[in-house]
Amino acid sequence: MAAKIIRFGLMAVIAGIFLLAGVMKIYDPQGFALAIMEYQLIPWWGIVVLAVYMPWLELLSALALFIPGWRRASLITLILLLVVFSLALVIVLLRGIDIRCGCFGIGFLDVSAPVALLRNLILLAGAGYLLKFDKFNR
Amino acid sequence: VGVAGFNTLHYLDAVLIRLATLLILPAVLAAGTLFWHPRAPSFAEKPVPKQTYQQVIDSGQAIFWIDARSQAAYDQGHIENAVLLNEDHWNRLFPGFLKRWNPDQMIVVYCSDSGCTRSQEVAARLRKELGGNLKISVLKGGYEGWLLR
Repeated sequence: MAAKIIRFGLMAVIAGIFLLAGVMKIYDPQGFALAIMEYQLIPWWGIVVLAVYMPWLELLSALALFIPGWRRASLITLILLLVVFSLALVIVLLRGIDIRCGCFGIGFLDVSAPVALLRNLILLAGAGYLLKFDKFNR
Repeated sequence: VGVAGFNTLHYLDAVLIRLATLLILPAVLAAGTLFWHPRAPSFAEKPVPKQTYQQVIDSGQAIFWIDARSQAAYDQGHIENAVLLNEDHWNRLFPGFLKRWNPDQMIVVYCSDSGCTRSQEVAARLRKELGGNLKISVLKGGYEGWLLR
């Protein structure tokens, strides 16, 4: 029972973070595009595509986490997103580019790249844990 | 393949279909965002590049500073010789900018900090009004970054 409560709490935290991130970026896709541009990783056309696609992916995946039967697909998507975000942060840190995360769009709950990376790794561990104990979701 | 094997395959199929749905549905909504969202980024209009204060100075060019913040923030303090120009009072402020600006100068626009977007908006509008070949950039870190330089 306690384990179930922990799992639900963890799920609510992960879903809450991605819901907030998705909503903030859907509200201001131009601001999110500027935040992605700071990473200097992809050309402008790719930034535009990501800026309008990724927030919806985050939002829908977070919502799907609460739908029994959809949880595994949702967790796989969220883990993929976290891996991509973390890789981008690692590349930026290795290249010595000084940026803010932009994880919630531009200028909202902004943290430095190392803090964002640490947060991502914690979320990744949480999502991995939920995926491992996914039996109750089927 | 026994009953258990069949069930596992069936389960994996269901997960894959849901995974595909989760990946495809956002693409449809993203297309809608591109067409209807008032703040959607445009493929055609790439934002003005950002430069740090050091990069601006190292460029060796004559700089024309534009402060894209509010009148109140400008009055509290601004970069020396910076001219106030923002979207809120564009029609009133733009003629004053035109009078003082020399086309040989590189325009550098700034707003409050690294999280603001007013400088990008002003820079984009200037590029639209004065032509694509304009020498213009946005100050990385904004006024806050300049204070900490």
